[in-house]
Amino acid sequence: MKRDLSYTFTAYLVLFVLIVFNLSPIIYMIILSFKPNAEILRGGFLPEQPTLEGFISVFTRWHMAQNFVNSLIIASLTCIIAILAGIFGAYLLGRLNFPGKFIFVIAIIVGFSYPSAAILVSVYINLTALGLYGSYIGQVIAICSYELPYVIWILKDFFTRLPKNIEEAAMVDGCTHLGAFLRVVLPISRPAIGAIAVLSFLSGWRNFMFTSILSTPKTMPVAPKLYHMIVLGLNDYSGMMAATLLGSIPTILIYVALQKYVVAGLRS
Amino acid sequence: MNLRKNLKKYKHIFYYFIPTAIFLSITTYIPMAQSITYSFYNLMEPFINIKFVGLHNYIYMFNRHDLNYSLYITLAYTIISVSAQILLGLATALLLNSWLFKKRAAIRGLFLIGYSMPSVATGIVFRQLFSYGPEGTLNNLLGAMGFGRFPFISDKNLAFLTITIAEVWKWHALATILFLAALQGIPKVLYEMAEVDGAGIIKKFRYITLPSLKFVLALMITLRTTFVLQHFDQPFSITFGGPAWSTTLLSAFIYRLAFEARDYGKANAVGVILFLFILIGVIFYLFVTRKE
Repeated sequence: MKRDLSYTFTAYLVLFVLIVFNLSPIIYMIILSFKPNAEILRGGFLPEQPTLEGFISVFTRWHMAQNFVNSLIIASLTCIIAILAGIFGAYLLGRLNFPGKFIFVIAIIVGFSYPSAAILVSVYINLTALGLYGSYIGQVIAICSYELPYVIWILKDFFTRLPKNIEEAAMVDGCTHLGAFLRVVLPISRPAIGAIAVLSFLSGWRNFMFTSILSTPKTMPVAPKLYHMIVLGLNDYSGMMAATLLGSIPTILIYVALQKYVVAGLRS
Repeated sequence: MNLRKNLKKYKHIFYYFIPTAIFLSITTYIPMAQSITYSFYNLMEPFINIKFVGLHNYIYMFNRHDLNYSLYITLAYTIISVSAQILLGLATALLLNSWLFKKRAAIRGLFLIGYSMPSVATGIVFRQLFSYGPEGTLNNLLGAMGFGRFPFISDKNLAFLTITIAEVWKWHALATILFLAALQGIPKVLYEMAEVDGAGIIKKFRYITLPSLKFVLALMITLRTTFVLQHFDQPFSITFGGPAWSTTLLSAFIYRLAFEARDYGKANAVGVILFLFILIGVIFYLFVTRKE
């Protein structure tokens, strides 16, 4: 009995330490975003007089409303394009057999593991030549360089797991192969496609490498804007943390709400 | 005759193949081919006198001290942080899997917060938290405890430590989730049988838990290695690759070479070198998943 008690105590202690380790940077961010800059400069930890100054500064001093709109546009476009362009490839790899399939599979893996930093230079040169430098669509095409193969890769496993002969059943009823895909396979795949759509939305929201180079101040999304704020280093600590918090809220909310699907997706 | 028959048999394949091939070429494969081609040209801004230089970019870069240094710290960063995040994730998963914690999903949710945040955001939080100035709460705490203040961002070695800690902090949750899922898939009967046979905790771990985790473990090591090798957002937003070039990992090295020095040819040569490293990881990954 005594041994059990000390075991329980140790387990809870370790869990507590792990939670502190995991959450302290997040708690720090939340506390500093409510703490006036004058207080931060004096040191200390908890705010004596919590304010919303930081959050106001995000919109008045840093004009970030536009960056949030930009992030929303870029993330939505990434999600739409990666899904629309990706479902055909995922279906092809997941359910159909054809000679040379192995090469295609390798090409997809190479596609999402080729370093973005190396793609960035070519995309930068191409977009400049096409006059698309700084546009939303340019940034989205760049993000899709890894997101599209990745979506194909993840969705492919889902298509593989569908029951074997649903297409044949539809084709007996007079559908063409493509018709069977559009009218039967896609509708029953809606939940999986939805979950992956959310993940690619987040991928677009989070991207920093491409958007930091390929955007102009007008079309810049939140992630590179945060970086620009900290590079300027104007000692607006609480504004910085408030902006970081606001920029992270969509991703945190979606992840925690969709935890079940995210975990299932990671497991596959 | 045979060919035509084959073509007809595979006709429907083209409906799916052609749009996919077009999209992938635009977004991925054309830029990739360009990137490899550029690595053999002396391409830099302003674009004058562009010519084929063969392997010159590669030879030049390998003779440069800073590339070798960047390769070295990238490998060190990858090896240290991948092993640390896997060990920490495994330990956390074993703890959460014990009978004590019924509210696993809630705790897992807490652990997911850091993982779900954009890497630039967590990078900026770490930059401020570890800062030398009054906003650096970690230094405030260490100072109050009598350890003094440490230049976590501006000292070469400490900066490397900071980005490694941040990497482990951010990504160990992924290992936790995957290991926890694998642990919950082990039938309880196995442990009960082992207990009947008089096996202790260590023996149970060695002969039941570890073999069941082997696949996830191999998967995690190969996947994490390929991704950490090219990590950019978080380490770069903590130290900006500095002081000087001391924490410039390979991806950041390419980024800075291309967009600070504007030397695209050499940047792409480094890109191809990084890709070759990643390719080794990918081959291991294929080898691991092949058996499943």
